[in-house]
Amino acid sequence: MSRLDSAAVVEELQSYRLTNERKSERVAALGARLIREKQLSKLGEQVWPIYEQIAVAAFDVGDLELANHCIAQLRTRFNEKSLRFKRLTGMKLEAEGKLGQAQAVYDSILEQDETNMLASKRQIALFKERRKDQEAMEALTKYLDTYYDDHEAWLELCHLYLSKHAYEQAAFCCEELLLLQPGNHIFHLKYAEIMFTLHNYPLALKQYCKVLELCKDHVRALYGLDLCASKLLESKDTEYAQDLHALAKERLLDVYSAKGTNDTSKVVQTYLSMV
Amino acid sequence: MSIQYKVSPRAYALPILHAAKYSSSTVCGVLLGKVDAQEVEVVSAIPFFHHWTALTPMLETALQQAEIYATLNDLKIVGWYQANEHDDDVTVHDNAIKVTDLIRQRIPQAVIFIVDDRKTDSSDKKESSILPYIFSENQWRANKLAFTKESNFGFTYEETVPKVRGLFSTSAYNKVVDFDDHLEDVSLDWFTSPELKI
Repeated sequence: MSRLDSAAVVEELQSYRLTNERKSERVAALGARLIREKQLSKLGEQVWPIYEQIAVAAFDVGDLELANHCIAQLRTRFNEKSLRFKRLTGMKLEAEGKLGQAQAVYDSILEQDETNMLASKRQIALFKERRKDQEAMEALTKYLDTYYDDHEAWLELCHLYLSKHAYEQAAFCCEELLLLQPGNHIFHLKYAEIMFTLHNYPLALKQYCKVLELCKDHVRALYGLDLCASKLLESKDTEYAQDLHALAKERLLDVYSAKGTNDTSKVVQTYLSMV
Repeated sequence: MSIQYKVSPRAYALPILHAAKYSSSTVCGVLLGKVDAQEVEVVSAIPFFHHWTALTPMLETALQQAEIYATLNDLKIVGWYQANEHDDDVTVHDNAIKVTDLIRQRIPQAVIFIVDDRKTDSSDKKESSILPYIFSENQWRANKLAFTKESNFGFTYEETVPKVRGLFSTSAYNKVVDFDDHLEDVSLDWFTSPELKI
């Protein structure tokens, strides 16, 4: 790997740390290459978050050898006094299936620092792994009482509620997310779909419109708008249902004629010609 | 008289590969095939979702479009597949039952494939990673003997299980396209996942 390549790889890894994307297969593969080609030692202090990132990805794909190598490297700089490093050792135990020992590690972190968010979240993850969804939801609710602006936690709670078909509670989580990030079109989209599932078509329609306002020609929202509008055509309370219905179909046909394949466009045209 | 189910490599592979691509999520989709009085041939599958699987609007859209695609290709929707979030959960969840109730209205012999990923790693080269469920006497029942010699479930190609296992070495699962993927980029063909050669 040339020097130019390794800089690009390091940048790519950093972008995943920023967006928090779960691209474990790619990160583990890139990380393994960087290590094999000895490209990490020259990075100085920048290397430690990278080792942590590769270790977590390695846990995710089950490459314990790679993970152990990263942890060994980190151990030359940190020890269990660093709660962040300690959490990583807990995650290693989780990856090895030693859930009881992992629990003990997180408990001890929280004994030292009861506000430690990393350990709190791992505890919640352990509940999930042990199929204790009720306890997970309770722990998350308690966590969110303090950290009400942690959108990742609201998303996790929403996901748990949805898995139990508790749509009203899931909707509440979405409402909190919308308060935190009112410009995030994905949260509006999620709320629209939950409202649709609850058969609240007027509110779903409004939310789909909001998505399209924030993100032009968003295909998922266009399909949703088309569906909602069709369900409200007979309703006297919703003005413009017919217009929105026609608009959604028109925009979809436009998007597909520009970017869709022949086969999918054919199906979509048939689909849109049905009410 | 028991109905025979014949499963093609593609119909076996797609649910497993879809589950592998999104290994930490629930994934699901429909099964396509042909039906006559004695036999159901499960020919292929169309992957639907890897997130928001409890929500309904895109499910309505996907089902209608899958139906249109099936008709255009002389096939029918003959079942549903799902890989649950936890890999040792091989039960049929409510969402799967709801969708298959609709499918059963037209095809009473409809089948549900549940992916059992614990088997994908197994040293037994012939062990199937798909556990089929059939509706009989008012309940969905797992056919645990499926794909063994005595069973009414068989492969159209004898080496299907090792063949599909072999696909993992090239990370072929990354070539699966589902409806969720398609909605983010409509140039991706979710009906046929054309890059995926089985």
